[in-house]
Amino acid sequence: MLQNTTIFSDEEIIQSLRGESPSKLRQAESFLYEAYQDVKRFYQQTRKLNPDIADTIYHDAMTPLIRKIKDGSYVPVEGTPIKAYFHGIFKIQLRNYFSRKVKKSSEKDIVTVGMKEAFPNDRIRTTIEELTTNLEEIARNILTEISPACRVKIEEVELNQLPPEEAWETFGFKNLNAFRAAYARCRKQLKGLILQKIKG
Amino acid sequence: MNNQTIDQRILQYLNEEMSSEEMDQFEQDLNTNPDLKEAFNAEVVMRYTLLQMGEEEKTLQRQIQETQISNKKIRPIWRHPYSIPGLAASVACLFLIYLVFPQEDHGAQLEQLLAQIENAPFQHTYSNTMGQQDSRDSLVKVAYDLYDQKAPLKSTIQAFQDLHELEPDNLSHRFFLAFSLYKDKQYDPAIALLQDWPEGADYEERAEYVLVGAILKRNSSVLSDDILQAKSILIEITNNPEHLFHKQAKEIMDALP
Repeated sequence: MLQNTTIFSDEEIIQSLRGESPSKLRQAESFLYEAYQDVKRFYQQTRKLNPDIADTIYHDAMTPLIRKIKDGSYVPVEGTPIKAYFHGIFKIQLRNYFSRKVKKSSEKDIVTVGMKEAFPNDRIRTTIEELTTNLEEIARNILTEISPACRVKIEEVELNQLPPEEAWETFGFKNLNAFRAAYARCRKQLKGLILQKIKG
Repeated sequence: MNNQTIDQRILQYLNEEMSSEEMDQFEQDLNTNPDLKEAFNAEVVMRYTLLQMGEEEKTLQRQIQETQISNKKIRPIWRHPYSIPGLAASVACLFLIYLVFPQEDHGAQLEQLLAQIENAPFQHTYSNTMGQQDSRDSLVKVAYDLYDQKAPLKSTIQAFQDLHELEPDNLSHRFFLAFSLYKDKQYDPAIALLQDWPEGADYEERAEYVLVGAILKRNSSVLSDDILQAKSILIEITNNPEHLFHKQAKEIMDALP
């Protein structure tokens, strides 16, 4: 697949996309388009996504990725590859795409988890309701503010049970330990956001 | 109170692992200890945020399925040869069937049959008076006692998960872990444990029965491959009159659309 394309490291991708050389820029762009095809395949396999729709979303996700790297709004995090960030953008585009499609047809949208469903024990729920107000709003804000790369890792590993032994490669990490370290940072980021919201 | 004790108490409270008196004390402490209150709020928000994330994942999966099914290109009926006479004959047949046979609500009936699986009183062979000789025996006792006492599913699942990790070849632990996951509506991990059950081994027939339930509960779409898989297991069970769940499988088969 990458036979005729120069292989770029993450640092080289960033340098080429932010640099002055138009030929390097084109090379880096075509490298990205080819190199992350397995992200598309991952969602085709795990979500039984139609290949045509997967293609559309792939292009929808690649455009903001390249733009964010070029304009500097993408800030590389040491140890976290661009591919993990791309997974996050792909997932955002996936949600946007289907949310638009479904809204057009039947006006269904994301359902908010009810308090009774989240905390079925009446006594515990009462304690929570007395102490924590606007829980739904806090959760919504956190989900918007958490970084896409972090959110997608939590979704795949904790909610969809992708084993870390497979996840590190899927997200483009160098090895399992690098993934575990990034995952721990991500959980810390989530906890930090939560504390910030509670105190704020 | 150090951080570890605070975290431990919060988890015990939220996981319903405290006595009523301990809960009273915890609730009083929440009002007087700001550190405990902050940590409790953080844990509640974390749990709720993860649940909300899970809900959005489920919604996305449902949206993908619904959109893709509705997007499948269907050849217009008028392009098929003999379509109009065929359609007329089908309508006439359906009308006759409607007149002759009593109508049943298949969906509700299926739900009832699947609820029977959830409430099935599956028995295990571990005695609840077993002595606590070592940590393994103690784990076994905890898990099966929790199951017998119909304790909160999260605790039962955790106990069986520990046991299953300790003795992955023990089919009793594997079955009761899968069954507890099924009751907790965690169908995917339950299916993963129940699939590929060793042929002729202990709990095989119970595993097949619960597996059918988990597959059908996981997917509501009658077009999915899962339904076909469930049907193929049901056919095997119904072809074996000696099977423990022969009668139930036949009823589920009849209730399937």
